[in-house]
Amino acid sequence: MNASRYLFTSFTKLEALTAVEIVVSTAATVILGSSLLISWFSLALSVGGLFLGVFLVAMFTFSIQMSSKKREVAILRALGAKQSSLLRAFLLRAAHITVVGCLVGVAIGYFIALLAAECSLLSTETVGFAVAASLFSSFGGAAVATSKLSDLRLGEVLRQ
Amino acid sequence: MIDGQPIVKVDGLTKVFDTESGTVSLFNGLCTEIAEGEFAAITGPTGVGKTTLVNIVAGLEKPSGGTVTVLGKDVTAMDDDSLTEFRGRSMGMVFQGSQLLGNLSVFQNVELPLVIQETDEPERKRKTQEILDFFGLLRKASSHPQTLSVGERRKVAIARALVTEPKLLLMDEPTGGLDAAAVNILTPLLRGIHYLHKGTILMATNSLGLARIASREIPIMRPRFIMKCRL
Repeated sequence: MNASRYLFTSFTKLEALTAVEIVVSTAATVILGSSLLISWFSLALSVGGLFLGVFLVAMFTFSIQMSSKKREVAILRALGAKQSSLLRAFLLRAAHITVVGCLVGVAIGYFIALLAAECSLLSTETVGFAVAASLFSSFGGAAVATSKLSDLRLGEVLRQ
Repeated sequence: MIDGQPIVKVDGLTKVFDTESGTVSLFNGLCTEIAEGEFAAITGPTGVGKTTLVNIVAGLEKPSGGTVTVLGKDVTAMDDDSLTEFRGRSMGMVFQGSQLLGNLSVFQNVELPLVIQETDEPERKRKTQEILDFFGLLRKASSHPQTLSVGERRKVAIARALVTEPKLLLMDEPTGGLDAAAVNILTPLLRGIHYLHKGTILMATNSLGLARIASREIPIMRPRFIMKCRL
Protein backbone atom coordinates (compact mmCIF):
# COMPACT_ATOMS: atom_id res chain seq x y z
CA MET A 1 0.00 0.00 0.00
CA ASN A 2 1.41 3.34 -1.01
CA ALA A 3 0.43 6.80 0.21
CA SER A 4 1.18 8.29 -3.22
CA ARG A 5 -2.08 6.75 -4.47
CA TYR A 6 -3.78 9.62 -2.60
CA LEU A 7 -2.30 12.03 -5.15
CA PHE A 8 -4.71 10.97 -7.87
CA THR A 9 -8.33 10.40 -7.01
CA SER A 10 -10.08 11.55 -10.16
CA PHE A 11 -9.48 11.79 -13.89
CA THR A 12 -8.76 15.41 -14.91
CA LYS A 13 -9.73 17.14 -18.16
CA LEU A 14 -6.07 17.59 -19.04
CA GLU A 15 -5.44 13.88 -18.63
CA ALA A 16 -8.43 13.24 -20.89
CA LEU A 17 -6.84 15.57 -23.48
CA THR A 18 -3.59 13.59 -23.36
CA ALA A 19 -5.48 10.31 -23.68
CA VAL A 20 -7.41 11.63 -26.71
CA GLU A 21 -4.16 12.83 -28.31
CA ILE A 22 -2.63 9.36 -27.82
CA VAL A 23 -5.75 7.65 -29.21
CA VAL A 24 -5.79 9.88 -32.32
CA SER A 25 -2.04 9.53 -32.96
CA THR A 26 -2.01 5.76 -32.47
CA ALA A 27 -5.11 5.26 -34.62
CA ALA A 28 -3.72 7.54 -37.35
CA THR A 29 -0.43 5.62 -37.35
CA VAL A 30 -2.24 2.30 -37.69
CA ILE A 31 -4.38 3.66 -40.56
CA LEU A 32 -1.46 5.33 -42.35
CA GLY A 33 0.75 2.28 -41.83
CA SER A 34 -1.79 0.06 -43.53
CA SER A 35 -2.42 2.41 -46.41
CA LEU A 36 -1.23 1.73 -49.93
CA LEU A 37 -1.35 5.37 -50.83
CA ILE A 38 1.46 6.56 -48.63
CA SER A 39 5.20 6.08 -48.93
CA TRP A 40 7.40 5.12 -45.99
CA PHE A 41 9.00 8.56 -46.04
CA SER A 42 5.72 10.47 -45.77
CA LEU A 43 4.50 7.94 -43.19
CA ALA A 44 7.55 8.62 -41.01
CA LEU A 45 7.06 12.35 -41.44
CA SER A 46 3.38 12.36 -40.49
CA VAL A 47 3.85 9.95 -37.61
CA GLY A 48 6.82 12.00 -36.33
CA GLY A 49 4.63 15.10 -36.29
CA LEU A 50 1.78 13.29 -34.55
CA PHE A 51 3.99 11.95 -31.81
CA LEU A 52 5.79 15.22 -31.28
CA GLY A 53 2.29 16.47 -30.47
CA VAL A 54 1.77 13.63 -27.99
CA PHE A 55 5.12 14.41 -26.33
CA LEU A 56 4.27 18.11 -25.98
CA VAL A 57 0.73 17.49 -24.71
CA ALA A 58 1.97 14.92 -22.16
CA MET A 59 4.70 17.31 -20.98
CA PHE A 60 2.21 20.17 -20.71
CA THR A 61 -0.40 18.04 -18.90
CA PHE A 62 2.01 16.68 -16.34
CA SER A 63 3.68 20.06 -15.78
CA ILE A 64 0.26 21.54 -14.97
CA GLN A 65 -0.59 18.52 -12.83
CA MET A 66 2.70 18.84 -10.93
CA SER A 67 1.97 22.52 -10.22
CA SER A 68 -1.57 21.77 -9.05
CA LYS A 69 -0.36 18.91 -6.80
CA LYS A 70 2.54 20.91 -5.28
CA ARG A 71 0.82 21.23 -1.91
CA GLU A 72 -0.16 17.54 -1.72
CA VAL A 73 3.35 16.49 -2.73
CA ALA A 74 4.89 18.78 -0.09
CA ILE A 75 2.57 17.42 2.64
CA LEU A 76 3.35 13.80 1.73
CA ARG A 77 7.09 14.55 1.60
CA ALA A 78 6.93 16.32 4.98
CA LEU A 79 5.14 13.30 6.45
CA GLY A 80 7.89 10.98 5.25
CA ALA A 81 6.98 9.92 1.68
CA LYS A 82 10.11 9.49 -0.43
CA GLN A 83 10.55 11.55 -3.57
CA SER A 84 11.14 8.37 -5.57
CA SER A 85 7.74 6.93 -4.56
CA LEU A 86 5.95 10.15 -5.55
CA LEU A 87 7.83 10.26 -8.84
CA ARG A 88 6.77 6.67 -9.44
CA ALA A 89 3.14 7.65 -8.77
CA PHE A 90 3.27 10.40 -11.43
CA LEU A 91 4.94 8.08 -13.96
CA LEU A 92 2.53 5.25 -13.20
CA ARG A 93 -0.34 7.61 -13.86
CA ALA A 94 1.26 8.57 -17.19
CA ALA A 95 1.73 4.87 -18.00
CA HIS A 96 -1.95 4.11 -17.28
CA ILE A 97 -3.14 6.92 -19.55
CA THR A 98 -0.70 5.92 -22.29
CA VAL A 99 -1.54 2.20 -22.25
CA VAL A 100 -5.30 2.85 -22.30
CA GLY A 101 -4.84 5.46 -25.06
CA CYS A 102 -2.71 3.03 -27.10
CA LEU A 103 -5.20 0.16 -26.82
CA VAL A 104 -8.15 2.34 -27.79
CA GLY A 105 -6.11 3.92 -30.60
CA VAL A 106 -5.09 0.55 -32.07
CA ALA A 107 -8.70 -0.67 -31.89
CA ILE A 108 -10.08 2.45 -33.60
CA GLY A 109 -7.29 2.44 -36.19
CA TYR A 110 -7.87 -1.23 -36.97
CA PHE A 111 -11.63 -0.68 -37.26
CA ILE A 112 -11.22 2.23 -39.69
CA ALA A 113 -8.61 0.33 -41.73
CA LEU A 114 -11.05 -2.59 -41.86
CA LEU A 115 -13.81 -0.33 -43.14
CA ALA A 116 -11.45 1.02 -45.78
CA ALA A 117 -10.60 -2.57 -46.76
CA GLU A 118 -6.95 -2.00 -45.99
CA CYS A 119 -6.73 -4.45 -43.15
CA SER A 120 -4.94 -7.08 -45.21
CA LEU A 121 -1.96 -4.74 -45.12
CA LEU A 122 -2.18 -4.19 -41.38
CA SER A 123 0.95 -5.77 -40.01
CA THR A 124 2.20 -6.49 -36.51
CA GLU A 125 5.08 -4.12 -37.29
CA THR A 126 2.67 -1.25 -37.95
CA VAL A 127 0.79 -1.84 -34.71
CA GLY A 128 4.05 -2.36 -32.81
CA PHE A 129 5.47 0.85 -34.23
CA ALA A 130 2.33 2.82 -33.33
CA VAL A 131 2.30 1.47 -29.76
CA ALA A 132 6.06 2.00 -29.25
CA ALA A 133 5.89 5.58 -30.58
CA SER A 134 2.90 6.35 -28.32
CA LEU A 135 4.56 4.91 -25.24
CA PHE A 136 7.87 6.61 -25.94
CA SER A 137 6.46 10.07 -26.65
CA SER A 138 3.84 10.15 -23.88
CA PHE A 139 6.06 8.64 -21.23
CA GLY A 140 8.96 10.86 -22.37
CA GLY A 141 6.83 13.99 -22.03
CA ALA A 142 5.66 12.95 -18.57
CA ALA A 143 9.21 12.11 -17.48
CA VAL A 144 10.50 15.54 -18.56
CA ALA A 145 7.67 17.25 -16.63
CA THR A 146 8.05 15.20 -13.44
CA SER A 147 11.84 15.59 -13.34
CA LYS A 148 11.11 19.00 -11.78
CA LEU A 149 9.74 17.29 -8.67
CA SER A 150 13.12 17.55 -6.97
CA ASP A 151 13.11 21.36 -7.33
CA LEU A 152 10.13 21.68 -4.98
CA ARG A 153 10.89 23.87 -1.95
CA LEU A 154 8.89 22.12 0.75
CA GLY A 155 9.22 24.84 3.40
CA GLU A 156 7.95 27.53 1.03
CA VAL A 157 5.03 25.47 -0.28
CA LEU A 158 3.86 24.52 3.22
CA ARG A 159 3.78 28.15 4.34
CA GLN A 160 1.21 29.08 1.68
CA MET B 1 18.68 11.98 25.70
CA ILE B 2 20.39 9.82 23.08
CA ASP B 3 23.73 8.69 24.52
CA GLY B 4 23.88 11.87 26.59
CA GLN B 5 23.07 14.04 23.57
CA PRO B 6 20.15 16.47 23.56
CA ILE B 7 17.18 15.67 21.27
CA VAL B 8 17.75 18.87 19.28
CA LYS B 9 21.04 20.73 19.11
CA VAL B 10 21.31 23.95 17.13
CA ASP B 11 24.82 25.25 16.65
CA GLY B 12 25.75 28.61 15.05
CA LEU B 13 22.57 28.77 12.96
CA THR B 14 22.12 31.49 10.35
CA LYS B 15 19.75 31.84 7.44
CA VAL B 16 20.41 34.55 4.89
CA PHE B 17 17.89 35.49 2.23
CA ASP B 18 17.04 38.34 -0.08
CA THR B 19 13.95 40.46 0.43
CA GLU B 20 12.63 43.53 -1.39
CA SER B 21 14.26 45.73 1.28
CA GLY B 22 17.66 44.02 1.15
CA THR B 23 19.56 40.97 2.34
CA VAL B 24 18.41 39.73 5.73
CA SER B 25 20.21 37.46 8.16
CA LEU B 26 18.12 35.43 10.61
CA PHE B 27 19.12 33.79 13.91
CA ASN B 28 22.53 35.49 14.16
CA GLY B 29 24.42 32.27 14.93
CA LEU B 30 21.78 30.82 17.26
CA CYS B 31 22.99 28.08 19.62
CA THR B 32 20.49 26.12 21.72
CA GLU B 33 19.73 22.63 22.95
CA ILE B 34 16.45 20.91 23.72
CA ALA B 35 16.57 18.02 26.14
CA GLU B 36 14.42 14.89 26.02
CA GLY B 37 10.91 15.47 27.32
CA GLU B 38 11.28 19.25 27.17
CA PHE B 39 8.49 21.48 25.83
CA ALA B 40 10.24 24.44 24.20
CA ALA B 41 8.52 27.44 22.65
CA ILE B 42 10.19 29.49 19.94
CA THR B 43 8.87 32.98 20.53
CA GLY B 44 9.16 36.35 18.86
CA PRO B 45 7.11 38.71 16.73
CA THR B 46 5.99 37.91 13.18
CA GLY B 47 8.82 37.81 10.64
CA VAL B 48 11.71 36.88 12.93
CA GLY B 49 12.00 33.37 11.45
CA LYS B 50 10.09 31.11 13.86
CA THR B 51 8.59 29.04 11.02
CA THR B 52 11.96 28.97 9.26
CA LEU B 53 13.59 27.57 12.41
CA VAL B 54 10.93 24.84 12.73
CA ASN B 55 11.35 24.02 9.03
CA ILE B 56 15.14 23.83 9.38
CA VAL B 57 14.85 21.47 12.38
CA ALA B 58 12.44 19.33 10.31
CA GLY B 59 14.86 19.39 7.38
CA LEU B 60 12.33 21.12 5.12
CA GLU B 61 14.68 24.07 4.60
CA LYS B 62 18.46 24.31 4.52
CA PRO B 63 20.26 26.88 6.68
CA SER B 64 22.93 29.22 5.28
CA GLY B 65 25.29 28.37 8.11
CA GLY B 66 25.56 26.25 11.24
CA THR B 67 24.30 22.77 12.04
CA VAL B 68 21.12 21.26 13.46
CA THR B 69 21.36 17.85 15.07
CA VAL B 70 18.16 15.93 15.80
CA LEU B 71 18.37 12.68 17.77
CA GLY B 72 22.11 12.63 17.09
CA LYS B 73 21.78 13.12 13.30
CA ASP B 74 22.86 16.26 11.47
CA VAL B 75 19.74 17.08 9.45
CA THR B 76 21.59 19.79 7.51
CA ALA B 77 23.95 17.23 6.02
CA MET B 78 21.62 14.29 5.28
CA ASP B 79 20.67 13.31 1.75
CA ASP B 80 17.07 13.85 0.69
CA ASP B 81 15.75 10.28 0.96
CA SER B 82 17.43 9.54 4.32
CA LEU B 83 16.15 12.83 5.70
CA THR B 84 12.58 12.16 4.50
CA GLU B 85 12.61 8.70 6.05
CA PHE B 86 14.12 10.02 9.29
CA ARG B 87 11.53 12.80 9.48
CA GLY B 88 8.66 10.37 8.95
CA ARG B 89 9.97 7.96 11.57
CA SER B 90 11.12 10.36 14.29
CA MET B 91 9.21 13.62 13.92
CA GLY B 92 5.58 14.66 13.93
CA MET B 93 4.69 17.99 12.35
CA VAL B 94 1.82 20.40 12.80
CA PHE B 95 1.98 23.01 10.07
CA GLN B 96 0.68 26.53 10.10
CA GLY B 97 -2.83 26.29 8.66
CA SER B 98 -3.11 22.52 9.34
CA GLN B 99 -2.27 21.39 5.77
CA LEU B 100 -4.74 18.51 5.57
CA LEU B 101 -5.54 16.75 2.31
CA GLY B 102 -9.02 17.86 1.29
CA ASN B 103 -9.77 14.78 -0.84
CA LEU B 104 -9.29 12.47 2.18
CA SER B 105 -11.53 11.93 5.19
CA VAL B 106 -10.43 12.84 8.71
CA PHE B 107 -9.61 9.16 9.34
CA GLN B 108 -7.51 8.88 6.17
CA ASN B 109 -5.67 12.14 6.96
CA VAL B 110 -4.72 10.93 10.43
CA GLU B 111 -3.84 7.47 9.11
CA LEU B 112 -1.60 8.89 6.37
CA PRO B 113 1.80 8.87 8.22
CA LEU B 114 1.20 5.21 9.14
CA VAL B 115 0.37 4.40 5.50
CA ILE B 116 3.64 6.06 4.47
CA GLN B 117 5.50 3.97 7.07
CA GLU B 118 3.77 0.86 5.71
CA THR B 119 2.36 -0.10 9.12
CA ASP B 120 0.16 -3.22 9.07
CA GLU B 121 -3.50 -2.42 8.42
CA PRO B 122 -4.99 -3.68 11.74
CA GLU B 123 -2.40 -1.75 13.75
CA ARG B 124 -2.84 1.29 11.56
CA LYS B 125 -6.61 1.29 12.06
CA ARG B 126 -6.27 0.71 15.80
CA LYS B 127 -3.77 3.54 16.32
CA THR B 128 -5.82 5.93 14.19
CA GLN B 129 -9.02 5.14 16.08
CA GLU B 130 -7.28 5.54 19.43
CA ILE B 131 -5.87 8.96 18.61
CA LEU B 132 -9.15 10.15 17.08
CA ASP B 133 -10.91 9.02 20.22
CA PHE B 134 -8.43 10.93 22.38
CA PHE B 135 -9.11 14.11 20.43
CA GLY B 136 -12.88 13.52 20.46
CA LEU B 137 -12.92 13.25 16.67
CA LEU B 138 -14.27 9.71 16.21
CA ARG B 139 -17.70 11.02 15.21
CA LYS B 140 -16.05 13.11 12.49
CA ALA B 141 -13.85 10.27 11.20
CA SER B 142 -15.63 10.01 7.85
CA SER B 143 -16.04 13.77 7.39
CA HIS B 144 -13.81 15.76 5.08
CA PRO B 145 -11.63 18.60 6.41
CA GLN B 146 -13.64 21.25 4.54
CA THR B 147 -16.69 20.45 6.66
CA LEU B 148 -14.84 20.97 9.97
CA SER B 149 -14.28 24.14 11.96
CA VAL B 150 -10.76 25.65 12.02
CA GLY B 151 -10.29 24.38 15.58
CA GLU B 152 -11.31 20.85 14.62
CA ARG B 153 -9.00 20.92 11.61
CA ARG B 154 -6.14 21.90 13.91
CA LYS B 155 -6.99 18.98 16.20
CA VAL B 156 -6.90 16.63 13.19
CA ALA B 157 -3.48 18.03 12.24
CA ILE B 158 -2.19 17.43 15.78
CA ALA B 159 -3.66 13.92 15.82
CA ARG B 160 -1.94 13.20 12.48
CA ALA B 161 1.38 14.41 13.92
CA LEU B 162 1.03 12.21 17.01
CA VAL B 163 -0.28 8.99 15.45
CA THR B 164 3.25 7.67 14.81
CA GLU B 165 4.26 8.44 18.43
CA PRO B 166 7.18 10.59 17.31
CA LYS B 167 10.14 11.34 19.55
CA LEU B 168 10.00 14.99 18.50
CA LEU B 169 6.79 16.93 17.88
CA LEU B 170 7.20 20.15 15.89
CA MET B 171 4.34 22.63 15.89
CA ASP B 172 4.14 25.85 13.94
CA GLU B 173 1.65 28.32 15.39
CA PRO B 174 -0.82 25.65 16.57
CA THR B 175 -3.33 28.28 17.68
CA GLY B 176 -2.70 30.72 14.81
CA GLY B 177 -5.89 31.89 13.13
CA LEU B 178 -8.16 30.43 15.82
CA ASP B 179 -10.81 32.38 17.71
CA ALA B 180 -10.57 32.81 21.49
CA ALA B 181 -12.94 29.91 22.22
CA ALA B 182 -10.91 27.48 20.10
CA VAL B 183 -7.65 28.73 21.69
CA ASN B 184 -9.16 28.08 25.13
CA ILE B 185 -9.92 24.48 24.12
CA LEU B 186 -6.63 23.83 22.37
CA THR B 187 -4.24 25.32 24.97
CA PRO B 188 -5.01 22.84 27.80
CA LEU B 189 -5.11 20.07 25.19
CA LEU B 190 -1.53 20.90 24.16
CA ARG B 191 -0.49 20.85 27.81
CA GLY B 192 -2.18 17.44 28.17
CA ILE B 193 -0.43 16.17 25.04
CA HIS B 194 2.95 17.04 26.54
CA TYR B 195 2.01 15.25 29.73
CA LEU B 196 0.73 12.12 27.97
CA HIS B 197 3.01 12.06 24.91
CA LYS B 198 6.11 12.33 27.13
CA GLY B 199 8.08 13.21 24.00
CA THR B 200 9.93 16.40 23.19
CA ILE B 201 7.95 19.32 21.78
CA LEU B 202 9.27 22.30 19.86
CA MET B 203 6.56 24.86 19.13
CA ALA B 204 6.73 28.18 17.31
CA THR B 205 4.25 30.75 18.56
CA ASN B 206 3.76 34.47 18.89
CA SER B 207 1.11 33.98 21.54
CA LEU B 208 2.44 34.78 24.99
CA GLY B 209 -0.38 32.78 26.57
CA LEU B 210 0.54 29.65 24.67
CA ALA B 211 4.28 30.14 25.27
CA ARG B 212 3.51 30.08 29.01
CA ILE B 213 2.52 26.40 28.89
CA ALA B 214 5.96 25.47 27.55
CA SER B 215 8.73 24.58 29.96
CA ARG B 216 11.20 26.90 28.22
CA GLU B 217 11.20 29.78 25.76
CA ILE B 218 13.66 30.27 22.93
CA PRO B 219 13.27 33.93 21.99
CA ILE B 220 14.30 34.81 18.43
CA MET B 221 15.90 38.20 17.91
CA ARG B 222 14.82 40.57 15.17
CA PRO B 223 16.44 39.84 11.77
CA ARG B 224 19.56 41.76 10.87
CA PHE B 225 19.89 43.56 7.55
CA ILE B 226 23.33 42.85 6.18
CA MET B 227 22.76 44.84 3.03
CA LYS B 228 20.06 47.41 2.43
CA CYS B 229 18.72 48.20 -1.00
CA ARG B 230 19.73 51.52 -2.42
CA LEU B 231 16.86 53.31 -4.12
